[in-house]
Amino acid sequence: MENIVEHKDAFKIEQIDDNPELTSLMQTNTKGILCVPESVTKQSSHNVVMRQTYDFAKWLKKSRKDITIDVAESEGIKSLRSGDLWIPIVILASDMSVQVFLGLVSNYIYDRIKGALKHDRTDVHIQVYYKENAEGVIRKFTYNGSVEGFEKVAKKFNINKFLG
Amino acid sequence: MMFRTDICRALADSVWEEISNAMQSVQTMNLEGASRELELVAEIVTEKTNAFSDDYHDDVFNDGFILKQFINLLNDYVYFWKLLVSNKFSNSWSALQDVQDRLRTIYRSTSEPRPQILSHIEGQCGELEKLYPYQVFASVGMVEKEAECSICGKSIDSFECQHIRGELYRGRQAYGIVKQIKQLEEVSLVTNPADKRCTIQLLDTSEQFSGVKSLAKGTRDKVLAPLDFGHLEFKRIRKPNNEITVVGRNDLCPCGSGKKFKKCCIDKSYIETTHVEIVPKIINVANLVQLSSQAIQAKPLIVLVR
Repeated sequence: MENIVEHKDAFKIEQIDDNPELTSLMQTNTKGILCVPESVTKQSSHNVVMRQTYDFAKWLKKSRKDITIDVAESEGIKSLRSGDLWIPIVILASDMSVQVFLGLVSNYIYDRIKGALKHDRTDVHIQVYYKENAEGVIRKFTYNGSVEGFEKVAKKFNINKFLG
Repeated sequence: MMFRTDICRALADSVWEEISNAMQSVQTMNLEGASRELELVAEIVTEKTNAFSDDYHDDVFNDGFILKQFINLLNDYVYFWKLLVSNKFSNSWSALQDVQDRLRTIYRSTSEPRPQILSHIEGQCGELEKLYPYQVFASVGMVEKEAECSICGKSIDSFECQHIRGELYRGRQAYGIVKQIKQLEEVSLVTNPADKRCTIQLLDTSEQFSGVKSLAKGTRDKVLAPLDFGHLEFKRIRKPNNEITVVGRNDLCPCGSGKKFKKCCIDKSYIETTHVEIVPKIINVANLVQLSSQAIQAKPLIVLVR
């Protein structure tokens, strides 16, 4: 895929092996979107979800009643006093494609930054876990960067190009 | 649009002349007078909105909230200039953030067209921030227990509560009240914090405030009216370095190195510094408040050295 984002914007897709907890959650979550705590990613030992998790989940329930979204159990809310927008870490069931999810996130971001001033800067952080197909390997989509960069990724995202 | 309902449009119209007068007072630097006028307007609006019938649609209450935010924003704006011209620079930074938070709240719940004064103040705030020395801010990362919803009292971090942070519900904004911090994880220095008030405090007499100090003086001296503050132009210029004794090129360097001046400190005879020019944007206040001003560009009035 051509480089469509600014230098400071970074996105990647990687294969995830050896994460039994994640594998188990993906097997039990058969519908829609599940927001999961940080500990599931193995990048952190904290069993916490980001503060914006329920805001996102409630916004989705309100704006798209046809989509199922749930939040896995956690032991606390992680709060960062940062101007960045942390989209909850999610795993997608087989009925939810990455493209559709990124489109939903794009709408959410638009709604969230409606109050932003022209000189405000909002960076976005996204982590999505999904399976290529029902039997396929687990992949992780990560994006960290500007809203504009994310819009370009979301618009041009084509999973087939990444998978060759 | 700013107001969705006829009830609040009529209420806004009924106090618009007073708001316009208050802004005229700001221009003439009668800041105390502007505060008094806006407080009076706020009292009238609060009295009227408190008398809203329970039968009214949610939008009426939300419009009432927006109107009050608008008046509070203007009041915060006046307060900012009051602090600035009193050389209370550190506090004026926080007041500037208050103004911008009000703007964000209004923008989030309204759409264009809005009174032109909002975009004018927004532009001013962005430029004013550049005059302050703050580049990095403190940011805290912590684990909290679920926050209590300001509206229903249930956990806002659950599906039991239907409210979403920042949204309006019958004239009340939902937010989470954190009752318990479980663990403080980190305090970082960041460039893009949630709250720009979390600065490393500087004394009002600090040299780093030289830009805002010049603006305050220019405003106090009525060289520039608050609402005429436009944008800044930063330029790099060279000026003589007073700490270097300049001698002939082939003379021995005064620094004592034993070398000729041209081989030693000649490059230090000038230093580069940043000049900031405040470019005014002369406006017609009455038009600005009434949505239809045509801004006139004028030549820079004040030259600052930072």
